[in-house]
Amino acid sequence: MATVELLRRKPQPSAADIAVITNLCRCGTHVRLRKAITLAAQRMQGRA
Amino acid sequence: MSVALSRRGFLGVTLASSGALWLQPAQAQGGKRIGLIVRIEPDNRVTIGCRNAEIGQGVLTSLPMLIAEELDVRWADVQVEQLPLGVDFTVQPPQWTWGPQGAGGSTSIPDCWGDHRQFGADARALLVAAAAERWGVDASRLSTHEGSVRHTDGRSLRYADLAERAAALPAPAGKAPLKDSSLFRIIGQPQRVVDARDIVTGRARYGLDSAPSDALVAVMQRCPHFDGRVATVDDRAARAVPGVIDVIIIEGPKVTDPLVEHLAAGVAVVARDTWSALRGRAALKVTWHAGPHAQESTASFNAQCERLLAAAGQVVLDQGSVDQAAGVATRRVQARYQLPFANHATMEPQNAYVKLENGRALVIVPTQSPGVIPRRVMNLTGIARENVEVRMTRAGGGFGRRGTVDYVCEAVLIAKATGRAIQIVWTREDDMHHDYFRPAGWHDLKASLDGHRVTGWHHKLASASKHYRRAGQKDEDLWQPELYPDDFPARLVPNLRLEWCSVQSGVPRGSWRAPAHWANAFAVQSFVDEVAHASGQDPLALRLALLGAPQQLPYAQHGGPQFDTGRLAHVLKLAADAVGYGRTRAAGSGVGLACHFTFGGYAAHAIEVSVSKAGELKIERIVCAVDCGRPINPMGLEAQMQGGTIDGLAAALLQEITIKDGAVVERGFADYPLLPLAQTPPLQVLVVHSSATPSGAGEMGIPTVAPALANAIFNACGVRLRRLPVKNQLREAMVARG
Repeated sequence: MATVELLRRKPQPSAADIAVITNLCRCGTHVRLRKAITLAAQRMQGRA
Repeated sequence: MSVALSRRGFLGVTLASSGALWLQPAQAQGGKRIGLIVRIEPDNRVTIGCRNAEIGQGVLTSLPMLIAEELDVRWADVQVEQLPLGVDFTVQPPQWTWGPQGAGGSTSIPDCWGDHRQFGADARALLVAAAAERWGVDASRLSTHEGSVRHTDGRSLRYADLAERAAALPAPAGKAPLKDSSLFRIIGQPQRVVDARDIVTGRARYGLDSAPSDALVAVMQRCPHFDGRVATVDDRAARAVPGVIDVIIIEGPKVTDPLVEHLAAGVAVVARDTWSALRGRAALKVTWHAGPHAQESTASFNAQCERLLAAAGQVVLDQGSVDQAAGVATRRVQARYQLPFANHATMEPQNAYVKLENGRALVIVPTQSPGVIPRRVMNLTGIARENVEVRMTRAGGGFGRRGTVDYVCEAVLIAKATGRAIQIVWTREDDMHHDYFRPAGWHDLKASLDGHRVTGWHHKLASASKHYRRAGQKDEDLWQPELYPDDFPARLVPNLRLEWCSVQSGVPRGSWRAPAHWANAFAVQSFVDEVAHASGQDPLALRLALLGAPQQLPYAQHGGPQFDTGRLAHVLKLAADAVGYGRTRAAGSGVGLACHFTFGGYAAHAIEVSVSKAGELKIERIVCAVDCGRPINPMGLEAQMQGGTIDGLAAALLQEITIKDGAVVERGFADYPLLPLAQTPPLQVLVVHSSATPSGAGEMGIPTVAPALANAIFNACGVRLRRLPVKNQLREAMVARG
């Protein structure tokens, strides 16, 4: 949900924009979260 | 409908209502019955059972891959089911139906590597035999390809058309041959988590989602003090809360009892839903007897460590003479490292569903140890073990916490007292206060050198043993989970002493991911750097010199039987090369290294940091190099190393459980933080493409993070951090330095 809101506001988020997300992750998926958000942004822009 | 077609050949077939077939030929292997866990569906898809519990480590994907490879089916045609606990209690000792089902110690892959491929190969052999019989040809003229049996003349039959006959055939004589690894098409290929879509769309069911609708919800107000008791309860207001059905006092375990069945005394509020139960709990008025540990605090624990380290401990290993080596040393180095208690903090707090009815029990639970549950239920209720059904759900994390089933026992006690099916639910605060915490300890390291050569190594540890209040535990063996005698630098230095001091504490302790490796690798790998700096050596060069020429050393603890120094040196060099070790860096920047052998796997971290004059730490990037033998699912392996690294980083930087008045101080993620996304550095994982027998991957990503970080900080700014977590220490040190 935080990602949807982020991408609504910033369709091409920078690393700093993504870092603003404060959701907690216990299992250490942080690296994949960033990758997934970037990928989602690209797909929504029709770039991937 | 269930049809046993042939007992003689140890075969059984279950014809499910869908018409699908479970191929379950069980083979007599050293007296063990091991059934195949493969079902061929009518549409030729294949359902593969996963016997180990999924706690986020990826076994629902990686274990079926082993079977699918040998069965020779398309991975896209495979669907996976979590198997329930399968134990045959009619034989003595009881036997696993599908093989061992625990999840811990990085054992799932090494346990399943052999037998799962055999399950697949045996099932494939049966399907080939069924086709040979149908066509009246010799099986040697047939081959398989992606779910079909092929004849040399071009004919083919789908597995689905052969399954019923295959399941009725006698089990293959001997073991069907396994594929040559050069033919692998699934093993070694990156595969996404099979239920990833369910997870991200909220359809995956965790323990909290899995209680049947007959469950009442129970929450407990537990005594905050270790081994405390309930003194008085006024439950009038709680019982008046709409939805509250009952209030029950749960006696805690006696101070002399093993701490296996439950952790704490308390008052359970049983209600029709979680909200009502929580409101009822909030309305309770309970007073406590604070118990025998009411004076314990972090300060008293530390004072005990300091006092014990000043006196002689229990020498658990003494090779050569460290005293003699010290006497003739050209240089002696010593340092003290301090590590805190830690909580597992699984994202899904503890919970369980228990129903006791007509001499039977049903338990639905996220757990790492389903196999221990029947005995616990029997002990608490008298229900025979064979009448206890255990179903495992996907668990929202494990990290060792769900290796104990105290929360199941609480639900059993409440179900027994109320006569109702119970779902027990812990809140975050419950979970932070009540855990089997990772033991805290102080490490004194001493080294003797002759020039550049390390001649003596003395590791003296004062800790509260992980084996706290276990049945049959001998005091003289309490050190065993704290120091692993075959760890580096055993046999690599001529004089070695390991010494242990038993700290008395009421804090319940247990296994936290990579148990003693986490603390010991921090102390040892930090100290290697200190020895290198003190003797004018490069830390990488000293590590490589100590590891020496590649050799196989005996390793008697878990993860053995051998420790290959060459494989450890290799991952160390990989990480060092990738981070650009030895490159000139700007002032305030530095790199640190660490390597360690954990439960059969070899890992190294190289961390690059920068430290401002004010002590602001920035982790620029992390490289993790790992050799876990042959990677089964490289994507899963990478995820485990990323997760382990971030877990290790959060533990090193932020996490500490402190004690006051014999109780845990921290309450939740506000004072026991997880690593924020903003502080997560770029992270590169390098996987050695080994053909060695695979180890697991759950724990080796953790132990080397903290020492590599401490070494990097020293390299960047000259401040040596010997106490974890880092928290504000760096800022304080830089301010003090001015």
